[in-house]
Amino acid sequence: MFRQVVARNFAVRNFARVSPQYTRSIVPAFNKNYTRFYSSSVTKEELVSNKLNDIVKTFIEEKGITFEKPLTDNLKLSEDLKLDSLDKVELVVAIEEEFELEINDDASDSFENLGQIKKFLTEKS
Amino acid sequence: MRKLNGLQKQTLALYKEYIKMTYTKPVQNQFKFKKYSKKLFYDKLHTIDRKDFSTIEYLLRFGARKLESLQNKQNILFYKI
Repeated sequence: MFRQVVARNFAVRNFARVSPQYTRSIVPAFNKNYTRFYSSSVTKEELVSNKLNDIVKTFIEEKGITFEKPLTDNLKLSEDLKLDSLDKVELVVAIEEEFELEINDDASDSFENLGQIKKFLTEKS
Repeated sequence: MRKLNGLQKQTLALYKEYIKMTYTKPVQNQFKFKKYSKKLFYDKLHTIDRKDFSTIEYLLRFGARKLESLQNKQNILFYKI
C-alpha cells in the first residue's frame, strides 16, 4: 500500500519538475519591478529618540496611564506621566536592558524629563 | 525635586536589583516575579514612617535576603517561594 503512495508522490513530483506548465501555475512569476534600496539617513539622535519613545510608550501602556499627547523632550516624568521614584527605577532598568548599558544611580536620579534621558543616551551609546 | 537620603537611595537600589532580577527569568514568568517584587515594596509604601529607621533597615536586610533566593537560577517558576 505504502509503496503505491510513495510511487504516486514521486510521479507527481517528477511531473512538476518536468512539465513547465505545471510549475508555472504554482511558482509565482519573478517580480520584474526592480526596487532600489537606499541607505537610511537617520542620525544617531533620531535612532535613540525613536527607541526611547517606543520604550516609554510600552511602559505607559503597561502601567495603564492614559497619555494621548505626543512624547516631547519637555515631558516631565513625575508631573506629566505621574511616575513615582519606583516607577522611574523600572523605566531606567527597561532602558538599560534595551540599550545594553549601565546607568548609575546618580545619573538616574537626575532624570526629570525625556530630553535629559535622550541626551544621556546619545552621549553614552 | 527633593534630594534623597541614604536609606531612600538604598531602597531604590534594592528595587533596581529586584527589577533586574526579573529580566533574567524566562519571559513567560517574568510578570509573576515583577508583581511579587512590586508587592513587597508598594505594600510598605504608606504604612511606614519616613523616620522609622530601624524598621526600614530591617526591611532592607530582609529584602536583600529574599532577593538572594529569588536570584537563584534554578528558581524559574516562582512557586517555590
